[in-house]
Amino acid sequence: MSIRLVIDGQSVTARRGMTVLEAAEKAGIRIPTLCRQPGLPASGGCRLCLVEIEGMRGFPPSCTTPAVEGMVVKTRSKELNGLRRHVLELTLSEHPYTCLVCDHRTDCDDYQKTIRKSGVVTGCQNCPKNGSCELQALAREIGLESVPFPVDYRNRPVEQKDPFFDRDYNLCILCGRCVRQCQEIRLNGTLTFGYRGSRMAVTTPFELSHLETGCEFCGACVDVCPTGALYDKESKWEGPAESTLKTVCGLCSAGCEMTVWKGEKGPVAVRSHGVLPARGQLCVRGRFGTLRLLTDRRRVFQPLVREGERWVETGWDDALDRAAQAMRSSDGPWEVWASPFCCNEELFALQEWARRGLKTPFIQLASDWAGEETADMMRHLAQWGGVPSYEEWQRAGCLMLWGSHIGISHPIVSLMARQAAQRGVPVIAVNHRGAAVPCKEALSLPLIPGMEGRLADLLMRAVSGGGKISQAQAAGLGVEADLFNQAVKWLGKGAPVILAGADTLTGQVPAAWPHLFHLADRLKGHLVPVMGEGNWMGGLWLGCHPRLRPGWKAADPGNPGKGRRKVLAFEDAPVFPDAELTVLMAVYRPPENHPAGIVLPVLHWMESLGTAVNLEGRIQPLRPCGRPEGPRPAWRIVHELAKRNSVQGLEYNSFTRIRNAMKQTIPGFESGSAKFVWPQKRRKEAPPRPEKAPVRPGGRYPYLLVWGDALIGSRGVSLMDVPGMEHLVRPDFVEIHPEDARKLNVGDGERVCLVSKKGEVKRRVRILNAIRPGTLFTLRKDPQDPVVQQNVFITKESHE
Amino acid sequence: MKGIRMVSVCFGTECVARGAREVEKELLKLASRNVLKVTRTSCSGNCQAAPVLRIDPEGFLTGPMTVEKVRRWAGSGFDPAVLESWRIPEQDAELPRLADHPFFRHQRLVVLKNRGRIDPDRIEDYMAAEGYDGLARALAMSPGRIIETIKAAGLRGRGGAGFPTGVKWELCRRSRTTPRYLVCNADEGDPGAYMDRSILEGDPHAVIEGMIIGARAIGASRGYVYVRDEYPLAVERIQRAIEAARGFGLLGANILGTDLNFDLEVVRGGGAFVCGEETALMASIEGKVGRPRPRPPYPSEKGLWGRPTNINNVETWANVAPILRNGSAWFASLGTDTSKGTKVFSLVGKVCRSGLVEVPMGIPLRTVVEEIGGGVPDGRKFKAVQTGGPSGGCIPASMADLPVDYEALTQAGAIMGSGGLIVMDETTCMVDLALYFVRFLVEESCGKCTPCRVGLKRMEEMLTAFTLGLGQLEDLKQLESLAKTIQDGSLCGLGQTAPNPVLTALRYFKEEFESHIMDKKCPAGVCKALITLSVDAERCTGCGLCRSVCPVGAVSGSPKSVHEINTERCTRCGACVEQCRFDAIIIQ
Repeated sequence: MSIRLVIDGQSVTARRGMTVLEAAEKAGIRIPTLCRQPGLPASGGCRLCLVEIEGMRGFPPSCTTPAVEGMVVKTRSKELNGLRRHVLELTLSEHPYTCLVCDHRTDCDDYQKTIRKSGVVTGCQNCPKNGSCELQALAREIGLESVPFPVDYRNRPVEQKDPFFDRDYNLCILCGRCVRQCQEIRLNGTLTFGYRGSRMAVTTPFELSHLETGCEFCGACVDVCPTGALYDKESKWEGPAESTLKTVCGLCSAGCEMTVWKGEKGPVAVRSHGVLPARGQLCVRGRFGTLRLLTDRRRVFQPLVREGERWVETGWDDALDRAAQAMRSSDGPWEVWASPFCCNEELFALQEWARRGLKTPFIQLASDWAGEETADMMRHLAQWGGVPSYEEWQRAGCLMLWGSHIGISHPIVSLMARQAAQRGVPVIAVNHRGAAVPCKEALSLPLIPGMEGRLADLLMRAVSGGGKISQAQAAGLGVEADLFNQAVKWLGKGAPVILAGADTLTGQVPAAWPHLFHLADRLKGHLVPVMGEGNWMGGLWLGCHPRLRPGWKAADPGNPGKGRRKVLAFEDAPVFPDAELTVLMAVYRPPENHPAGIVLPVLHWMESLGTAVNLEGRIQPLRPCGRPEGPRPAWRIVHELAKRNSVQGLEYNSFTRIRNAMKQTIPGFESGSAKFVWPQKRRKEAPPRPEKAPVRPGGRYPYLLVWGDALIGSRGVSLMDVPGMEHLVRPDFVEIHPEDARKLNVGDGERVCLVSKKGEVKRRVRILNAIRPGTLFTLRKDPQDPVVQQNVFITKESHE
Repeated sequence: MKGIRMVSVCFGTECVARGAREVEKELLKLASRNVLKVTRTSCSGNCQAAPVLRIDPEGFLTGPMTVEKVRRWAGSGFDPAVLESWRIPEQDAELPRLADHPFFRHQRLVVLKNRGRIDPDRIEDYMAAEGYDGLARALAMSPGRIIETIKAAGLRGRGGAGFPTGVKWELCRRSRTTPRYLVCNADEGDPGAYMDRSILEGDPHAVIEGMIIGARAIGASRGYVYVRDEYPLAVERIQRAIEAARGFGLLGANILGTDLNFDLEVVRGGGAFVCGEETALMASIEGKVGRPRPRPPYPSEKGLWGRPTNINNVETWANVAPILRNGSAWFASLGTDTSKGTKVFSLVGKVCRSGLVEVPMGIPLRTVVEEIGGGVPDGRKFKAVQTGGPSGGCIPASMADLPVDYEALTQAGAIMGSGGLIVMDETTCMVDLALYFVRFLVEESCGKCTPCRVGLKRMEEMLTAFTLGLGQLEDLKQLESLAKTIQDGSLCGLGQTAPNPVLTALRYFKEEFESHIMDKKCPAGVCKALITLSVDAERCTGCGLCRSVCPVGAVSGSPKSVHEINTERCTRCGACVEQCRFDAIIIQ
């Protein structure tokens, strides 16, 4: 429904429900604003967007006043201009303003470059925001030339102790964008307004540090700050971006859009961008970790060949010749390991090279989420109609979160669940460690790990049949009957979107995915596997798996062949010291003891031109934010190898060629990016549900250990090297119930050893009331740690 | 009941401060229940004589009472004649009837009808005084008729802005969403104002009855009384009254057998001045920080929890039942053309008889100050009167013939306000007064919008400079422009009215500002940086009292000789001025 109003004499059409400001903006009429930020709820506090409206007293703020049919609005007049100027003067009287109104500011810009990087900002040249400050822009727009008040400097110490960003509230103008962002978009509540009147300040509850208050360090507050009050430590003195670039984060499979700021010498900062998935939000890893990984000191730019104990740099031709030679003459079986941090084009080319060039059925995605069980599940999902888009999540009647660590592996998915709950969508969390969505419309349904399949079956029966769970059944699953019944009620409200982590879907015996599949199918909902690194989905879809061909077609895993294996791999693949030859495609220089014979440098995710598929099956474009000399895209390497070995049909000497080859081969890829890879029609071909009994702990291994994934790195390089990250993701803990801790006589923080049949790992004890007695939870520290759910026993670490 | 005398102990602030509790305790200790029935009442109005007792059935007031006086009265066997000498007003010989005394003569009690007459904790007392008659009538009327009645009566919001109550109700009634809510704003925060507290303490059922009638008219199912927690007695009384009303089927489901369902809840506020602003108040009820939000949308569309909400002030609610009881014509006959009914004021400041007064609209301010209040004490000159507290303005004595009327007061730069009336004499410095109110608001501003948060702080700095003699003449212009920015630019009523005290002071007492700036003098002798204290040689008797109280040893002199003040050392604390019994200290 549209309405008409008159703004500054111009007839304007607006949608019902729009504010006057939105209506004006739609018509291209600019009204100065400060506290308002698209995407955030309006506050009406800065008083710059005041307008005159016929029939209304005074000067209503356009950002909160609803546009009404027939309204006559004036955005400029002598009074309004004066009022705006005076209000801005008042705003500036609390902010070091010399940079805005100083007569010499141009000279200063030209000749005083060196006085940046001061600890305390007192004026333009030592403010990190100089040049991109919204106050500077507003002062220019409003034509402010002097401020009649002296600066009332607050003299608050600059807060620098927390990681990732600094806070200088002497520059804060209390617009409240950061507070609204933190409270209403991130639903976190670290930032709040403290005190009142002229003492009002942005602060944290009880004025604790951000680390103490449970800040996620997502940086969303920094993104919206109009002044230099909040600033990334890393890019603080880089100045305004010379250009920006929109790309996609690759650290998990959520596919968050982000903006990369580029300076003179390359990317300098990452900011949030766009709408998807969670209203343009990022997590700490994407926001503060991405560039760290890109610029890691261990980057390798020249091909290397092993000569004895050392790596020796060589030219591309030499390295490729050697690799091609080995691939031509060798008779042993080849294993090809693709990386989930590759773009689709690279994955496709590699898969082609494996199957057509090397004629091996062994092409595998080097991901913890690419086992046989996963391949089966994904193929079934594909035949069934695929996974829903984020837009469909928004329409879910109910959200279910299965698994113990979605909040850790995919923080943005967990944020989307919080946002859904905020909108009134019921959210049911099912796991054994009490990981819940902290809001009103959320329910935590704890259970014994391994019982997920049975619980799903019972839920399905209860929702469709209206039956209730018996006390005995409930006890067998470890769930409370009341909570179960509440969950049944909520599930009945509408088609659910079932989000499930790897520990539930495939990480246990028997795997729970067929049961969840049936549950989703019966309730006409969706099942979403929330797992995987950046392009995990793309890797499977493009057939980088012995059991999958491109486009979710089944493949014959074939016979591995005889002889010593030879490996063509990316660096996140397992290391095979017994291999006859390893050709490594690497972003980072492998450790000196790596058995690779040839190292071919490839491009980092952030340097790739191409596409990737996120966990909703959306093809997203990747744009390179830099192009270093040396490294090449993997499809290019495939092209060179094919040329040298005279393999026909793999002439991928340009991006267009590889793109065209994909378009012709793979359904879903015909029109390029932003499309979904799933077949549209839903076919009813549900997998059989295994009736195997879950493995119970006992005997020598009395504890059931559930593994989670921290996803804190890419290609074997961990984000834990980024200063501050260690506070947020500590993979070295094991969660244990207080009762068990008492039995084992271990205290919080004590070092213990978890021993299973497959090996042992060391961890620190974290006592958690919410976890189920007899079960443990820990994160996989590196991809080489044991994967499957294991029964373990615990010993105190010996004092060696 | 024969032979039992009823003694009502006034429990207004002044009376409690001056020992009403002790008096009550003593009465209860000494008198048996067969002789005296001791109850508490709200402020009976005559605060000058606190603590005050009302003696019935004789129907007179005595005061100031002390424990000693109670004992003496008890000694006489509680003979009312003993009280005659403490009877107020003292001139009872000339004015045998209480009602003829100037303090009472000009008053017209509608809202305060039951003050000091009923035990507020007994619903039966209220009912005996025609209580809940208005509700009974309203229940027989259609909601539309009730609203029409309120509109015809011409009742306007007593919280200060004077929005027509009937229109407000109608707007809320018309909104299609349900449930609808009612709120009683009892977050009275103006310095020196205590009308709402007195009503809640003295006649809580009047408010409850008004709200039930409102619920019937508006179609509301739930109401909240938002009282500041600094009013413990008011909280206690209204809570007890709500319970009593529930017990009588006046609140809850199917009120008095009709299909009306309505219940009340008391919400205690934390004492933030800004929570008197309706949107901040609603945020506070919702459990959020009390910060206002811009309107529209108005509460009648989107109020509590996004539902239509009707907010009225305590006094407005208390006016509803009398209108229903006596008819709109009766109410409309009181007051002026545009301002109907009566207004309760708390008359305080430099005035002989301070207290709670209810006067018909249209009465000249001068009558309130000079007749009811008995004028300025100690022969000093009446200078100005401040209405509406920090949101209002001062009206100079020369304009005191102005009627109490929404429009007239607004035109003079002040506002009706919720009813604070502060009288000032020549010892009040208008610059200092303006600074006082601005400081209050700097503290109480919520800080959300820039003009109020920053503008008031800048204003405080400028006024402080004036009181220190540091201002310049151009600053007056800037002060005025700043005031205009705060007025036009602020988000809520607090900020929009905040400059009123400064603007009216500038308008009517500009010369005082000028003498602070140009002559570096404070004509009222208040601003410490601009005055000097000296001893009047002719009056000084050399008693030495000033010397003994001076905290900094600035006074010297030997006994029985004229003393001297060392201006360098003197901090102008005024201790000597207060102590001197011969007015021998001159302030310049």
